Amino acid sequence: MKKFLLSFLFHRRMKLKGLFKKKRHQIQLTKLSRVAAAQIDFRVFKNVKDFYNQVLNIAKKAKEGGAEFVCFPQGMDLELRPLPMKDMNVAQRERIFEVYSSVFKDVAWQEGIYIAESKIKQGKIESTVWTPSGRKLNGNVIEIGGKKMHFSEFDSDFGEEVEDDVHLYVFPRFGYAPKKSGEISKAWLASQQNYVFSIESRLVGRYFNTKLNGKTGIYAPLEMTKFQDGVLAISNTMDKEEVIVADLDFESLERLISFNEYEAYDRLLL
Amino acid sequence: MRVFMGPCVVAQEFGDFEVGITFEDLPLKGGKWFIFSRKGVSLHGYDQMKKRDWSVPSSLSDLLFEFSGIRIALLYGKELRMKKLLRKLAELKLDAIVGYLNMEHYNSHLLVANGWGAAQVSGLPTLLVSTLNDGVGYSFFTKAYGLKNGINFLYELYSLVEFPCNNGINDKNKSKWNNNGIKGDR
Repeated sequence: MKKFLLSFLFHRRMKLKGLFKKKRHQIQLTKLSRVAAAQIDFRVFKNVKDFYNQVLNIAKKAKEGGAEFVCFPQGMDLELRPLPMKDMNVAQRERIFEVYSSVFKDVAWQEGIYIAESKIKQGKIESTVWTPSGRKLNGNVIEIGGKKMHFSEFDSDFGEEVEDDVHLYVFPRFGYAPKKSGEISKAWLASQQNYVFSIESRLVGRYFNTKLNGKTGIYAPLEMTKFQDGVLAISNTMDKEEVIVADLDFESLERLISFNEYEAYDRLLL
Repeated sequence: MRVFMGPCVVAQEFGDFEVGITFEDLPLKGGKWFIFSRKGVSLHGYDQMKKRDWSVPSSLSDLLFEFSGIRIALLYGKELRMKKLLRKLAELKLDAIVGYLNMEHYNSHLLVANGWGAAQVSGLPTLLVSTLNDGVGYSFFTKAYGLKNGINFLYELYSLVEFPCNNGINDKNKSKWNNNGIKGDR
């Protein structure tokens, strides 16, 4: 009886009928120039419709800010779990990821915006970009509007080998437990050390018994920012929902990189 | 290892230290000193005089200074942000990195990007000598760990720092002092 009730509850909460709109975009971005990062306040949704509306509202805000691409934080699939993990079978767990992806796909399609989402599936980080035409782009390196972006699997890129022609790093992240004061963003550091733009998106708020903090930011090398601080945009709060947007000037970035003398140092690395 | 950073005359206030770091000053007798200038750095008080000019090095050994079993890499400007170079230095099991930066305006972000960034990638304690017009400041960074973010102090006029060595003298005491006389991290 309990099994039947849980199954009934699961299917009722995962109901998609009538949710997805028919309006569709067919946009092919030729140049990426303005991006957004979402800071999400964690909450558990009782049905897909409410979760869908959250993603849609964020995408609309990013679009209103002129962004062509929006990055969502990691772990939002936890918001969508209608039942505790222990009460779900394998098929139900798969269904959650399927529904989760469908939501982002449909919002990207409906709003005509590129959406990056990241989830941990069977212990592995899976990063996906949904294009405005409903295509799914997977992998650590994804090309949009002629620019390659690298999805970092860790809080920093110290241990990762990244292709030299990547000009944008993406860090969809969980917030961190607020023990540290003055936490310095490793995404910000990645911009300074690799001469790239970086986007860090955080899931904040109360995650069951843990309070998650963190700042969502869009960063650039110090030399490219007005106050020489490496910050293009940063969230005002550490625990509230926000959407930040910033312009990325890839031409200026390439000019800056051309002044570096990396080749002269290559022989030291042999 | 205990390292003093600041004007040589102030060093007399402090006890013993293995090496001193100063900028365009005359070193005290009987100690080992790195003398920095806008053109380069030289190591004094050792049998062999070693120098490094602030230009692109021809080999990795140009960056490395070794004495009494202590091995230190001396870096300049953007070298402190070269991740591949920092990773290479980490493989060499050095004791510390000492960097030099000339700033046009005071910019704490620049100090953090260079000094703190180098400490995070290499895992080595990183000391920074930075000049701003006629002023000189010293900064000290370590790898972020637990509740400590690794920024020990920024642009101080002088300080004595202490950290464990990989190769040379091993100190168990990780505490540090600064020019406010405060013991421990700030």
